[in-house]
Amino acid sequence: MRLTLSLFLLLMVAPGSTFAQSNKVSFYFSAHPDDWQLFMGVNAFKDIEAASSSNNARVVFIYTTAGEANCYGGTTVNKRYYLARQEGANRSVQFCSDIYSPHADWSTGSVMIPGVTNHAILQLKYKNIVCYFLRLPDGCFEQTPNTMAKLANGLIASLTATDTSTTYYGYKDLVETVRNIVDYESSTLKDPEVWIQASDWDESVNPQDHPDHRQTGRLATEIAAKVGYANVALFEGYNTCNKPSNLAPEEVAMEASLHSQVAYGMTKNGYPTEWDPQSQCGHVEWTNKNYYRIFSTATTAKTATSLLKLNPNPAGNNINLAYEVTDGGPVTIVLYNMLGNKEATIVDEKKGTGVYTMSYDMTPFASGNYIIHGSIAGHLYTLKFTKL
Amino acid sequence: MRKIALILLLLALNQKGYSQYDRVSFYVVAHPDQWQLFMGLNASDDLSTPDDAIKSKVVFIYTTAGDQSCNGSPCNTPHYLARQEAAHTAIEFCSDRTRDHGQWHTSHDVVNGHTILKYNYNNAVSYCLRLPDGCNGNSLFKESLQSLHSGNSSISAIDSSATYHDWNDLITTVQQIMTNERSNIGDMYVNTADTDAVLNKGDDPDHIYTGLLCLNALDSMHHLTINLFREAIIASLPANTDDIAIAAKAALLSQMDYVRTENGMPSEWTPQNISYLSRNYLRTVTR
Repeated sequence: MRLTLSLFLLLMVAPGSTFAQSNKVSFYFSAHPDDWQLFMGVNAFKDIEAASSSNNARVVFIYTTAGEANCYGGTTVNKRYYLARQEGANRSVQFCSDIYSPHADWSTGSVMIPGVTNHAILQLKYKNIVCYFLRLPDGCFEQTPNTMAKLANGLIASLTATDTSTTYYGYKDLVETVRNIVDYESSTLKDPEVWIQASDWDESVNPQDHPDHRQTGRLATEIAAKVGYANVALFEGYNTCNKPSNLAPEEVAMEASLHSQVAYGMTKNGYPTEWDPQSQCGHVEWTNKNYYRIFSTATTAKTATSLLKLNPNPAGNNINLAYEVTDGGPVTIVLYNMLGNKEATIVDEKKGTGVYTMSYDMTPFASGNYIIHGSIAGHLYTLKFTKL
Repeated sequence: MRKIALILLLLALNQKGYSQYDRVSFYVVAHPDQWQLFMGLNASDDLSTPDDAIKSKVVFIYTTAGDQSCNGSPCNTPHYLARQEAAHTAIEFCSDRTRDHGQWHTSHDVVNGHTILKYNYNNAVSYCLRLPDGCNGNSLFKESLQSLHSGNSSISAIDSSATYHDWNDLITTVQQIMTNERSNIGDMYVNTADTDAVLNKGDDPDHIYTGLLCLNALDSMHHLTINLFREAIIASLPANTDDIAIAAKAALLSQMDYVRTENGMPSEWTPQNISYLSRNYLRTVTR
């Protein structure tokens, strides 16, 4: 009966399986480094399989908080703790990906992502899997003074990452920044099917969950509504502990295998395990259930609708840029290297409505990968290209 | 005065062979990934039992190196070292659930005149005899537990650390490891592959002959519980464990697989191994 139910759920709603062979970009919004494994693990496992087996799929993890759990009056951010959780999360990704393709090296760097202002964000890549760590403060059930929810509700004016790498000035700044990540990663495949997975923000559907989870789900849903091309699956969290199992044995194994990597990342670094099946509603009791709903489906396809276009790519010593200003306004186009350092300002002026084309001389710049960030009368675009 | 009393107490305890453990569990296996897949529930519990409940020591005896130098392929040292590291990571994962993360200590014990590689980690001890992987009779080294049992030849560790002249030599060695590790611990449990050809049909000969070796070594030992595990055949038997048990074995396989793949070996997250995760079949003999 359990298997039947599980198959039914998979056939009906599972974005992680039904479209495993499709041209898919799958986002997992995770408030803490150990959330997606426990609550969205089966879908993520199958998406990582797809991304590791071919070049036609991509998985992107967006971790909103550092998960430092610096709660109840603590004043010093425990960097070792959140790095341990981060290591555990990365172990989950690597373990799962290496099942399907040979082991590879991780690449690590800070990338500059524009929001209202520019933000340096830690990016780790493993094969076709990309992880962004925003490292916002862990809300600790709203015990800490600065949280994502407070930023969203206008109770604080700004929010600084726990590693002080950047500050978001207003919720809009955060939304636009993460939206640009979604836009950029969705542009890496041609006409992809885009899925956004996150915690359910609706307390009536997902009661008793961590406020960071719900706020991250809210952020993800708002971004999906803005871009229009993403399907959204929203997952229940803590309260599923008391719900019946709805996974097949091999799916339980998937989720448990992912969570065990998180647990090992913690204990290896001297912290208590999160492998705690004995306690009531311990983490392991979440590994045999995933409850979620499809909140919305894409209203538009993610196609080449950018108002900023670049060719050729790869490029020689010249790149051609074309952009359309639909409603007159300021235009800035900036060239960044892959470390997020600004190399040149290509355009910075007010433009009237119209289509503009231009050529830009790349001769002074070394061969390698670059990012063009464009702000076209309020629309933000990020294009990646290679100079040969 | 109190110091003198304490010293006298310690001397008395030493005289009686006092052990800090209440229970010792042995896992006598052929390959580094065997106990996790077939005996993983027992091992996981034994390794993670909190000291304030029962002080539990867990001893792993790996008979072969698990080198898989089969069908003419050369001996791949990184391969068996990766498998060994994978087994160690599985031990860490379990032991660390109820203890601080520890340090591994490596030594070479001389047992019955043979030098044997030994690792200690928290409450776990591992002996690696590193005999050749039998490869169903196709070992590069032309030696196996099965051939030793048949009386055909001696057998040497693939790292040349020891040579066992006959089956009895090997039995005596394993017996002495068990005797030393048991010391005067009251509760003793032994876990190994079932040697019954019907119950454990189709198992790897290395597993079967390691099970036989274990039972032979236990011939003169008493007051113990022996768990005999059915292995490869369980893939064809009905699933018989709950989700928490599946999770426990999945965690062990996951930990091993991470190390394997990181060392360039193919994943063992295979349908066959996954089928073992929801199955646990054993019979228990007490004497």
